[in-house]
Amino acid sequence: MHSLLPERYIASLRLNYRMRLGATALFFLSVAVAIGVVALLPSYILSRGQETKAAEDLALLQKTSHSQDANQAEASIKTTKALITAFEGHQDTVPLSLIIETVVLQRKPGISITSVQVKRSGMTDAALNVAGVATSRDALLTFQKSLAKDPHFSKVDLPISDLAKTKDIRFNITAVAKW
Amino acid sequence: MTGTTMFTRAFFKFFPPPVYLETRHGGLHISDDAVRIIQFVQGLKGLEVRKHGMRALPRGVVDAGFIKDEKALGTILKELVTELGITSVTASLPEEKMYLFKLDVPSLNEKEIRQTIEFKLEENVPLSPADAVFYFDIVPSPVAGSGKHTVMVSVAPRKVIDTYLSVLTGAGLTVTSFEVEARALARAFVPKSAPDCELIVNVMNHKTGLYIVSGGVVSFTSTVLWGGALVTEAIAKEFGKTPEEAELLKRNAGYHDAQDTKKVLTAVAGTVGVLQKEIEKVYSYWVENGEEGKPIDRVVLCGSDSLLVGLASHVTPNPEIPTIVADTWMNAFSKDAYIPPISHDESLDYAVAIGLALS
Repeated sequence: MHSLLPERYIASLRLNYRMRLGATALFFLSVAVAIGVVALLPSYILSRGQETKAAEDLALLQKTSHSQDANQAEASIKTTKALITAFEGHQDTVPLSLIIETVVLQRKPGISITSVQVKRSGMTDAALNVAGVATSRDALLTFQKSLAKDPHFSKVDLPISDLAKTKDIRFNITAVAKW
Repeated sequence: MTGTTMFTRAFFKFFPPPVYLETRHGGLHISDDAVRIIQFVQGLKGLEVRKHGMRALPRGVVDAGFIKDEKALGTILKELVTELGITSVTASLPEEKMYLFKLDVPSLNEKEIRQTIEFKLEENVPLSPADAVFYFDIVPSPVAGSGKHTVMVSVAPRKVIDTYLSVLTGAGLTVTSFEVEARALARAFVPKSAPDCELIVNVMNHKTGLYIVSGGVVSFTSTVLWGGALVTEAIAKEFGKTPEEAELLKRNAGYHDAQDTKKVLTAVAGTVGVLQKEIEKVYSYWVENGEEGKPIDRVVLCGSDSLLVGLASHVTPNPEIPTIVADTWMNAFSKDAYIPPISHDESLDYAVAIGLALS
């Protein structure tokens, strides 16, 4: 192409052309970037809108969640408080185990206790119902007497009907306990 | 045309490069008498003339290819290219300052060819490689039996190139290439499809270039100091007319009645005979020393003075060889598809510029 031109001049022509090529490439690159930016603008605006909406939704959700947590916590506290109150009410009463243990200590040979019902009527008072099986009438009477002798029990009643049988007698003794 | 070239052309037809990168150049022909410039643009049906212009040069500004008055030529050129808005050109160099020689090279590698030429340069031209700028054309057919190829080397003195470059860049032009006139003419009107061996006779005002183009490659150049001005002078002398009147008579010869035309032909016969002898010399040289098996197939005349009635038949070196006036637009476009804004007569003077613009 560049015939009969000095090498130095050809070099300057080439440099000039490459600079123009570079400028053209930059121009087209800029145009491509500009087109890309314009093309992405609607998506960007849409994304921003969605982001804002998502943030708002998240904030609302967190707020609701906090409120629910607070309600749950409040309910839990109330339950706990009620339980505490309930337990506090029996704090000074005689432990049930002590009552049962006292009954069991009075048991004699030939007596099998099948149940002990305790019905509290005050801090220290309770109505007892001791059920079981006695091998003989004598064993049953001995058990009733020993219960009656215990200072914590009063009004130890054995129904007469329970003494109708001579052996393997099902009994039901009632008493009033006081500590 | 190779498949790759065809593909490249088709590709760039549909995906043209940006105008900013195209380096759209004009063809600038600087002769002793005038500067002519022409630029083409790719139209829908092929090339079209986009811009063209001419400025006559005062006598002595350029003389036998030497730029004698750089300032005056620079001013005229600047005025012309500013008016046309052309910034880049392929320019012609005068034949008188050029050297042409043939060289056989062992390889078609461009670097190796250049090295061979540099090595052999001083054997062929009176210039050292440092003082010369050259280019080469590869002759299509290799040297028979040797495995070598022939290149035609055109050499210009670096001083001449520097002077031309200085003037053209001073006029605000970027020069994409320099070419010898013969090569530009070959590009303009030697058929691309089946290039024969042609003798081109480029008639200018004060000189005539005789070039032999073989296979599309310029193989011989010669310049004779014979031009259209001598014909005008002969007519003026014979008819006692002013140069302007004689010029008009010369242009219109053939359009007058037969008697007047005969008188004009008689008046110029002597001076045209000089040109005929020069052409015969070149023809004989080629017959004896030219490429084997490549006789001159035709003589092609160009330059507006080549239209002088009877010139073609008068200068032919061999009656069997057709002598025609060039169709300067042949390789630019089809005249069936596009009508150029330059007349045929005028286009003959633009032939070099057209060939340069087609490069």
